[in-house]
Amino acid sequence: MTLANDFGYSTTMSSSFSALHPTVEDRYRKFPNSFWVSGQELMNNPVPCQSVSGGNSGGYLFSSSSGFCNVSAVSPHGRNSQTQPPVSTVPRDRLAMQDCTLEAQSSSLINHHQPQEFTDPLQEFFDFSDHVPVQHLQAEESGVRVDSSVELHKKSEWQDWADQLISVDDGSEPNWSDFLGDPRSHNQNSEIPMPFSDVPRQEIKANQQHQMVLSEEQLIGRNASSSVATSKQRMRWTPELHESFVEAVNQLGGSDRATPKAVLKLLNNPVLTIYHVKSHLQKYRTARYKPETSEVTGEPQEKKLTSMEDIKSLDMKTSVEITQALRLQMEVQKRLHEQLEIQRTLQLQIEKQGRYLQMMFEKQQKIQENKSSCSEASPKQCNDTSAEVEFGLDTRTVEQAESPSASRKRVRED
Amino acid sequence: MKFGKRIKEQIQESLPEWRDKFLRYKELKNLISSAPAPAESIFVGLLNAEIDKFNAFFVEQEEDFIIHHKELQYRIQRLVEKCGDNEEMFRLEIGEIRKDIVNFHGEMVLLVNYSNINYTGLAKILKKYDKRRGGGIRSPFIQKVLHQPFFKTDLVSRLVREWETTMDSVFPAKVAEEGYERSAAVTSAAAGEGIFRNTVAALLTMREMRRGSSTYSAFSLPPLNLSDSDLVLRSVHLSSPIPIP
Repeated sequence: MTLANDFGYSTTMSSSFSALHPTVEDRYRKFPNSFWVSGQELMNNPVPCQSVSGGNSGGYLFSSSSGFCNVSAVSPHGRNSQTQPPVSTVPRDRLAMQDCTLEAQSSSLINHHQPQEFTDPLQEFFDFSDHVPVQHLQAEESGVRVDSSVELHKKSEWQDWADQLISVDDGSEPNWSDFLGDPRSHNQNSEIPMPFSDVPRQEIKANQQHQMVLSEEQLIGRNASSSVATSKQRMRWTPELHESFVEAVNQLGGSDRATPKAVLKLLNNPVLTIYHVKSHLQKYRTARYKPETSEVTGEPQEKKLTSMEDIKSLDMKTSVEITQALRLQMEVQKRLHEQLEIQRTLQLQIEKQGRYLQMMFEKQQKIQENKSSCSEASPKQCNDTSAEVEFGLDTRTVEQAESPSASRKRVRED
Repeated sequence: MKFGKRIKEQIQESLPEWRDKFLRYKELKNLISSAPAPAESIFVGLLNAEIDKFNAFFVEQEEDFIIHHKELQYRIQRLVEKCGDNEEMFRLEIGEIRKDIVNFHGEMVLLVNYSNINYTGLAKILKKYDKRRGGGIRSPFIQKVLHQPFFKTDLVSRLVREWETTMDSVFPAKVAEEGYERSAAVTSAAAGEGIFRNTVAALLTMREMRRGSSTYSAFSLPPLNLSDSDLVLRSVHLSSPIPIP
């Protein structure tokens, strides 16, 4: 039927495509793709405050303006030929916001009467971009707190960062000292898809209940006695959690109108802090405004774009070559990934094997010691079969190596 | 082949932002060789700091990937809906998206590679330490490393595989592959430094590292079997861009 089916999208992509009413579709076609996104998202994620029907919803949907910065960026044919501002000298975050400022002034579809939401986030971005790398330094898991230069660097940034936070969005922020000094425990991997409900907005206190689990992850070589101030805990996101996040953001009117605090409340996840939400929101905004940069590295796609574009414009036939080239690249990448997975499995096996051998060795030693120390006692009392039980392995292989004590191992205590 | 040399090459070929996030293998090695050898607590402390670094970087990248993963899906979705039956328009725009998919896939694979290289480096450095100090810190330490976030690459691998599956949907049906050489040239011309080169370098590194070494033992990995290794070699050897007529 449609192209979507030909390409098998409905099976490979997680969300299904809704066949839109023609008039609605036509209406949407007039607008740049970016607006389409917010409309589509809202439609695919039906929530009470959205109205999906054709006419009246138009105004509401588009005022969400989540993609207003893309107004100039998207047109069917001109995609590659748009002039992007030079990226190489300007940090990515700043650039995105500069674009947005211009667009914000020129577009009439945007809510003007929310200056707080626009200017503050923009301001926040300008200031924040400096702190993004630091933020994650601060948020890293607490290993042993070595007094390295990294540590010092972190602490000196706290004040600046704290000031930034105070200047942002709604005024009723909780005590920042709580965040700064909060002896939080280590974070969990949050794998719970949050049930998304219109909960009454309750204050989430800084010292909310956490699962105070000190998992083994964070305890390499650390003494049991050392306690760690962990307001710098790291959040490990999952696709499911992110989806809930996106839903929450959409419900709040898009990535620009949503504030970290509001999102946090909506998500109602005990492990999430406003700190996590804030940084994630910023990443999210950046990702949406600049869909054409190499997203993670910020590496300007310009270089690649230019060369691709040149090639493309020369001859349509070469687009076949480009596709071939991409396939080749993909193949190589795929190969590397396969090998990495194999290698990893092997490494795990090796370690497991090593562990077993080690254990056997230690057991053997212990038996030798027992042998010498309880030479008068009955052999039965010197047995220890715990290792074998743990590994569930056949003892025969071990016995071959340790024949003298083989018979002794077999004897079980009554 | 020396690991130290290999990891150095990897770092050089890697994306700029990543370069200071790798294990400081050389420094640690030198530290071990120096006299007096560092105390265990100090050495372990340093390693923990490195691990913190890996974790921080890895988790952040992973977060970015998750976001981008969703965004890319939306983009495709949007495009499909926008174009409807209009194949012409679809084809024009899908090119960009294809490129993004392949590059995104590549970045994720490189993160997995990053994790692996650092793990391998840690294992080796621990072995060196034990050799020098006659201790046995390697095994228990490595056990704990296995539980570190940066080592748990399952999610990223899952996303990687998802996009491999999607390839067939987004790319046209395979045409007869004539002019294979030319297309490979286009690749190297267009990609230049960047993800592709990094990937190729990573593969070659892996192969080298797993050739028999002087200290081959029960703990060593078997040699790498890269069938189709000519695939890799071909892409490497085309270093000079061939002008497109």
